[in-house]
Amino acid sequence: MLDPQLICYSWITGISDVAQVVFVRKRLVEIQYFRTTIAKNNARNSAVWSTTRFAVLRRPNSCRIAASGFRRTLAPTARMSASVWDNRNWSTPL
Amino acid sequence: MTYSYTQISQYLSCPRRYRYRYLDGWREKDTRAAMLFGRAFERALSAYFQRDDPGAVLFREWAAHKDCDLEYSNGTTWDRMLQQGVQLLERFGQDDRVRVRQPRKNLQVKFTRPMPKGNDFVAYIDAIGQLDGTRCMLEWKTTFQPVPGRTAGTADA
Repeated sequence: MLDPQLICYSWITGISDVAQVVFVRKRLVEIQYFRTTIAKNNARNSAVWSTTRFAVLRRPNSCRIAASGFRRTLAPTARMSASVWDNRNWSTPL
Repeated sequence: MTYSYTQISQYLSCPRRYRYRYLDGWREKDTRAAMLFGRAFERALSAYFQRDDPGAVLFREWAAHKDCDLEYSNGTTWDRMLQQGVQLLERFGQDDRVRVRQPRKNLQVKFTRPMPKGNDFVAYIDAIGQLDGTRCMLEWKTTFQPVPGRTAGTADA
């Protein structure tokens, strides 16, 4: 399910292409990259996920901090949940 | 009144907490190590895009909490979290998939949208940049658990 915060921020910025970079602090750290296009009505979207794990180093690559690189494999298209904005009646705050 | 995503989500999850914080002005003393580390890590990311030393920034920001009585979850420690943070910064640089041009302008960007009855909705976007060459709005998140159900398409296969 897409983070509703991303939907909200897409709405306020007017930018339909959104991405989330998730830094995972586990024993072998990993970074998840998530990019999606949020349609105006949020009926569908296409999403690309990929993950890199620190422990798997493949080929060298120039980098300001260290050196390695990965080939990238795109994930299949995913369906997004319905809009959190379009069908919600907001209560009046306290 | 000015609203934000966090404000509204807190109201939906616990109206009383919303009242204490946003109407009565109480602020919770945050002792959660994960939360404080996340803020330190975001500053390190900003340093990364501004071509400063992100590791040094992470150490400096995180060191400010070293002697505090923090709540560490999952049996982790201050040192372990620092180590993980440095590894993540290295990994992020190695991946080199995210670009933010003009970082002073495109990091922590404030957006305001007018709402009915004179209200506003405000958001601070972590970054406007590119992921794999595609221009997009970017949000960072630090967590102990990977986002589930997205292991297909891993880039290190």
